[in-house]
Amino acid sequence: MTTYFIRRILLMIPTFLGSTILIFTILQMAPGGPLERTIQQLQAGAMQAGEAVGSVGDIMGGGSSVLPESALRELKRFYGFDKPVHQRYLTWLGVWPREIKHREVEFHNGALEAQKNVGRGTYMTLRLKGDQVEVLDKDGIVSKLWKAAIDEEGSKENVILTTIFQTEFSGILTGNLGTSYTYDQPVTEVMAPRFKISVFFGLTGLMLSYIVCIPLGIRKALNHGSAFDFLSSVTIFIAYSIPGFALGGVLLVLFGGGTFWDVFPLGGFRSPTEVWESLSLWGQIKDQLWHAVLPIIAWSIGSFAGLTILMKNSLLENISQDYIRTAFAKGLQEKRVVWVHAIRNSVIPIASGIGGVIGVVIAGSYLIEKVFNIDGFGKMGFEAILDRDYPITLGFLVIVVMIRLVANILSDIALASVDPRIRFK
Amino acid sequence: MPEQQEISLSILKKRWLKFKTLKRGYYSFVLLLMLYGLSWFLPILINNRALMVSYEDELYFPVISGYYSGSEFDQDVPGEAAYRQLQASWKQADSDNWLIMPPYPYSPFEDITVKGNKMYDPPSRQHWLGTDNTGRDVFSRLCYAFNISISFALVLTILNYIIGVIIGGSMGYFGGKFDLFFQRIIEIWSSLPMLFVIIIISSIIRPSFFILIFIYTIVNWIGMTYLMRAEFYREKSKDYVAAALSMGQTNFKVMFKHILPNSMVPIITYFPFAVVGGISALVGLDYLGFGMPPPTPSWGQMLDVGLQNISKWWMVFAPVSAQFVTLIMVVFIGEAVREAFDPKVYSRLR
Amino acid sequence: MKRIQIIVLLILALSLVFWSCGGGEKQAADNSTVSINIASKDMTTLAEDGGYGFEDLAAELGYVTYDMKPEEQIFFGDPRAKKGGMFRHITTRFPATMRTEGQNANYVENNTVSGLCYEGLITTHPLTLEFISSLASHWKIADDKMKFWFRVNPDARWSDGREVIADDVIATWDLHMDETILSPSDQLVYGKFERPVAESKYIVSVVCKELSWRNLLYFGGMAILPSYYLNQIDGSEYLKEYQFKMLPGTGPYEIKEGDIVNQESFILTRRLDHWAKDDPMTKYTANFDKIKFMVVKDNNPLMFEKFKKGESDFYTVSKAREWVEETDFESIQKGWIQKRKIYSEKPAGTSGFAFNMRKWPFDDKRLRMAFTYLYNREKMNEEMYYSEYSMMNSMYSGSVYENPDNEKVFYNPEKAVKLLKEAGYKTRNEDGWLVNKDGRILRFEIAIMKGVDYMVTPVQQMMKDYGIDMQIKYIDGNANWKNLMERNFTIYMQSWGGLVFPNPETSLHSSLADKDNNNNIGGFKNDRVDELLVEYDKTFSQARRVEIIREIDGIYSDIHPATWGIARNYQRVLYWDKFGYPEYMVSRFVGDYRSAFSLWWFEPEKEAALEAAMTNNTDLPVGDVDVKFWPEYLKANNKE
Repeated sequence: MTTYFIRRILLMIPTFLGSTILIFTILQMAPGGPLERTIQQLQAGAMQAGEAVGSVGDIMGGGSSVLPESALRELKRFYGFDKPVHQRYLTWLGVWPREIKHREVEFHNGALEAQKNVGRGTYMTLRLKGDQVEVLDKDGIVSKLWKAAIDEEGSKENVILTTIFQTEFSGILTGNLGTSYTYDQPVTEVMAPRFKISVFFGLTGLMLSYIVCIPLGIRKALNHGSAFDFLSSVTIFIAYSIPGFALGGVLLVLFGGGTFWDVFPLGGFRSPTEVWESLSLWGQIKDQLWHAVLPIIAWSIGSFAGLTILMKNSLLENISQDYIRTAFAKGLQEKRVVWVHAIRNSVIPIASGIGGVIGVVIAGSYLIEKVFNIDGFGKMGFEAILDRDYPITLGFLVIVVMIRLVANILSDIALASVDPRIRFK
Repeated sequence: MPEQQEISLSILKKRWLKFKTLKRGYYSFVLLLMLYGLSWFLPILINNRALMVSYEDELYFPVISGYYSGSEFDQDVPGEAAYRQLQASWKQADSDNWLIMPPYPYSPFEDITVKGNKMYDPPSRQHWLGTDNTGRDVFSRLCYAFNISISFALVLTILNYIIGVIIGGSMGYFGGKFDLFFQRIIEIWSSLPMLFVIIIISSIIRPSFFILIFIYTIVNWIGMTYLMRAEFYREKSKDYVAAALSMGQTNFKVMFKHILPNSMVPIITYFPFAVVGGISALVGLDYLGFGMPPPTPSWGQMLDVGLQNISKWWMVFAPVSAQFVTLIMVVFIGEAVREAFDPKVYSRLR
Repeated sequence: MKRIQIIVLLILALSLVFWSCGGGEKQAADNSTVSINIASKDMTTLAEDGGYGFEDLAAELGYVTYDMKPEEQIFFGDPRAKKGGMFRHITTRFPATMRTEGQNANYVENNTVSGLCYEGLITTHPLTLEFISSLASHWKIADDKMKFWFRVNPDARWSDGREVIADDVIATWDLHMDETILSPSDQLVYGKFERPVAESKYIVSVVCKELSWRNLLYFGGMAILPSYYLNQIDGSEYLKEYQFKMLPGTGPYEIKEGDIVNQESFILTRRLDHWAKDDPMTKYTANFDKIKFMVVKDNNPLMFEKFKKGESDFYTVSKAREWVEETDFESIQKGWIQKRKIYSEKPAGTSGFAFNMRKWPFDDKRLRMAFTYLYNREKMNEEMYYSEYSMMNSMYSGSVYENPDNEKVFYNPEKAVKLLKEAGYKTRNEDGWLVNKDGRILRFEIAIMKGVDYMVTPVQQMMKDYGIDMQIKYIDGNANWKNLMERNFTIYMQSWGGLVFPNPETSLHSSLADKDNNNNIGGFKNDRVDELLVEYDKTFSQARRVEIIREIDGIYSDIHPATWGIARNYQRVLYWDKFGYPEYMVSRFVGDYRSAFSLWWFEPEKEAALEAAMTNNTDLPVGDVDVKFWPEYLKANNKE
């Protein structure tokens, strides 16, 4: 079994590469990337919603007209779009050096040397040598840090444009997922707190649905065809057909205190930071749970149906198995037969499903997070897609893929440990 | 071979008879089938085009033949005749002309631009479920959306089944390297960001029913392959397969003539749940604005608008309850089908 | 027994999860108070170099300033204003950065912060838009209008206590011109000037590269940042270092360290040592001790609920339906929350459809006009918007720039049908669509974003009645923008933002018409407009500029590259009744919630009354909904 799992883990490598290439390619095809977004932001300014869509102008001036060539070049370079796709992918992986700290240097009228301030008053000397550019520091020694290259596109007849830059290997393999365009922060920093929030809601909701669904499924199976079975089916399917986010919105209006009863806080993951920090440990726990009640209800309402029915069917199937018949024949008590023999085996499909569920849990639920104004993982991912925040989008998708791959393996392990008949080769 | 088919037919028959005894599921099935069948005749049931017009002793059938301009019936309206008004004015003038409107004479598209339609009309005799934020009849939209939802789910599921059976079946049947390779492909393919695919495609063309089906199928077939792979994998080791192979049957024949009929049980029992998934998927897409283009009636769009106008209860109530009724019927059918197809008897043993 | 174990296990697991989330985004609150040494008065700099005593020499040297007339006091803040209290406001996004310049700092939030924490050299009069002093007490314009001098007020101090000097202006300009701040529009705007020169400690001069009346506006309005910090870093370091950290400012507010909680809230705190706190032009503004911005993303219902619960103080109602149907709840009936419709001269919102004049079918003016006559906006306003809006007939609807001679368009199907016939669309096919003699159906596509479909589907029905097939599709914002910029559209839903100083060159100049990636969306070309645009930039008389813009507006209306829809020139607001405010409530040209930050104040008596009313469940007086101060003021003063 160990070798089986080692093989499975090794097989994750090609899958990972394949998936990331696929995601990367699709992203490149999407209309309107970060470059266009930046231009839009500069040209149109920010917009507000309403019937009468008013753009927010200022007394001082509107959007600017046409961005000059050099500005576009600068932006392209910043986003890395001056490089071919495969190079961008490899850079993102971290196996191709990434160019950072760009600066443009122009050589006018056949000049062969130019100086450039590279920050904090440090000047570097650039020297043209054919189609190579040499970078010298102030002592005239070739710089190890700085490199330079000729920019063919930006060069004109008597102006040769070069860029001076540093390189580093940093990509997903070195643990760097890049910097978010919309948050202006490292992707990992953006993701970490949101990931935790989604895990909190996901796992709590998951546990809640297990606590409810397994006993309910058992009860329904044992009373198959009864009025209870019918009524509970109707109830869970009413719950299933009410979208969680819709319910969330209604609950907030009802219990948020704005219009009707002031029972629960109006959204948020927990109290505002300044309040939160003043709370005692017990106060923090209470506050956290207080905020969690409504989102958890909204989150789990739809998940009851599937799990309950799965549990019920699985138990029904087991009860009609021969071994149960045998057990009854041997005169065992019904309680013992059902609880000890049948249920243990009925949990197997649920256990094997856990892997898939985990992926869903972690990905969070965009709409519920939006309704409750919680900065979760799902909301982050969805917004990143709409905002064309590629570093976040890539990071988000990759993490979701990885979780699914790991979860698949986990559910195989779970299956193997619950069901003694299963053997992996 | 004919012999075998006869046997499987009779098994099917038996199962059907069993299914019929399961009242809850059976009635749901009949009802849903009827409703869906009926929904194809919506243009003659719920529409603002007259079924039949008798004007100056000549008969017209606008529902079938389509566009007639108002001037044809001497009505002073731009473009198409407004049949409801025509009917009212003829009645008032006691003229010899007459027309028959569909039983529910409102189309899902006519909004405040049509005289007499108001937004946010609460449910009434005219508008059974009120009107929405642009004055469109909610009941009419609900019914048309029902047809679209079910059709979407059915076509999607069938397509998924075809692809799933072929790919999943081959994986299970051939196994080995082929299986391993395709598993990786599937794992990679399942990481395809759906939303981006939709954004890319809808920036180029206007998404229609079939384009949406196509987009959704791109990702959705994967779930089916897992099921079919496991099924074929298990069946493959059974004796009848070896027997068929030893008789010189081709792989293709073995897969589709022998194994497939024997794997029917999971295929059919899974079907209703796949349909439920399809319905929910379309609702979600429409809700997020990545689905059918406006003004196509859809439950997701209605839900979205309803939630924005939550004080107008009928706009939320309508799509939620329609979805609920449909889902629960499909689920009851699913339960019954499963029970009918399963040879084991689910009864309490004591 | 087992069940108990399971429960215990669950609780353990839950608490584990709970603690794993504990870390969170904690911002270490730095409580160590830095004692600020305010630089003492500099008596050494000579008067002619801008030191104390310059006031007396100014006129002689050709410098001007603006002295506030006593009757204008009210427009610079109400003398009844009291200092204190907190104003809580909900915004829809947390800014990507708290910087006020550079990449991603182009949003309203950054702008607001910049306006409250930093100051420019000069600013504009709230009533007349004349230049008035800010950091610079005096300024001089060369006769050829190509060079400006500014004398920085020697009293001006940074919040770290340092003096404001000419070098600060240069350092700020340098920052804007540094391409590594990744904000290319900065280089466009400030590249219109040579590098400023410090003539002395307090006097700074700048030379323009081209003649334009806007130059003084741009340069004078540039928010000045402290050179002491800027000189230590370059552009890319500025981006990193001041991402969520404020540079010291000169304005009345500052953001303290620890008051920025990323993605959650930030608080502006009033500075007690603001250098101009006794100046009558600023004395009665910036009255709140704290202004708190809280973030609720993309979730209007929640924002509204939070306001109703009292978690925020102010709410702007953006939709007519919300205003009419949902603002009659108990707190409003009882007068706890006040409801106002405030008119100002700031066009608050406009909408309409822009055509692509480069391609079929809207390359034909007759079709553009036909669409316009068929677009029954009056009906939509009546049936869907509760008659809340007025009809737009100008790009500059509701402002002085509106050309009064523009055709007042009304729904007119006869005219439309006639135009369609002239354009060759005479017959209908069997589906009822108009076709021309080649059999081409009059069919085009409009791409909209989700959420505005209710504004478009009725238009679709209107067109359908007359045989025009307008097909709608949803598109995401970025894809839509890309299509727009690549001119890959037929018709587009547009809004016209109201600028106090219009800048039509960017959207109307012929040279942009055939190029991609600019704001000349419709492909507008007109020689007369090009001429006017050249003149416009070089015209220093506001009256003449108004004439020019009106003429352009007239030509635009005639060529008709767009169908105008509805507009409103008022704000619909709700607020808890605990504030004092000047009679006019919002300033003439800002016109929205941002006026409250500087002009409103917290009224302790009102709050006490509100609290008493809420505990005893009694009523408070309900004020008049319509606030028409500005229209009436303008009428009374006979100013347009």
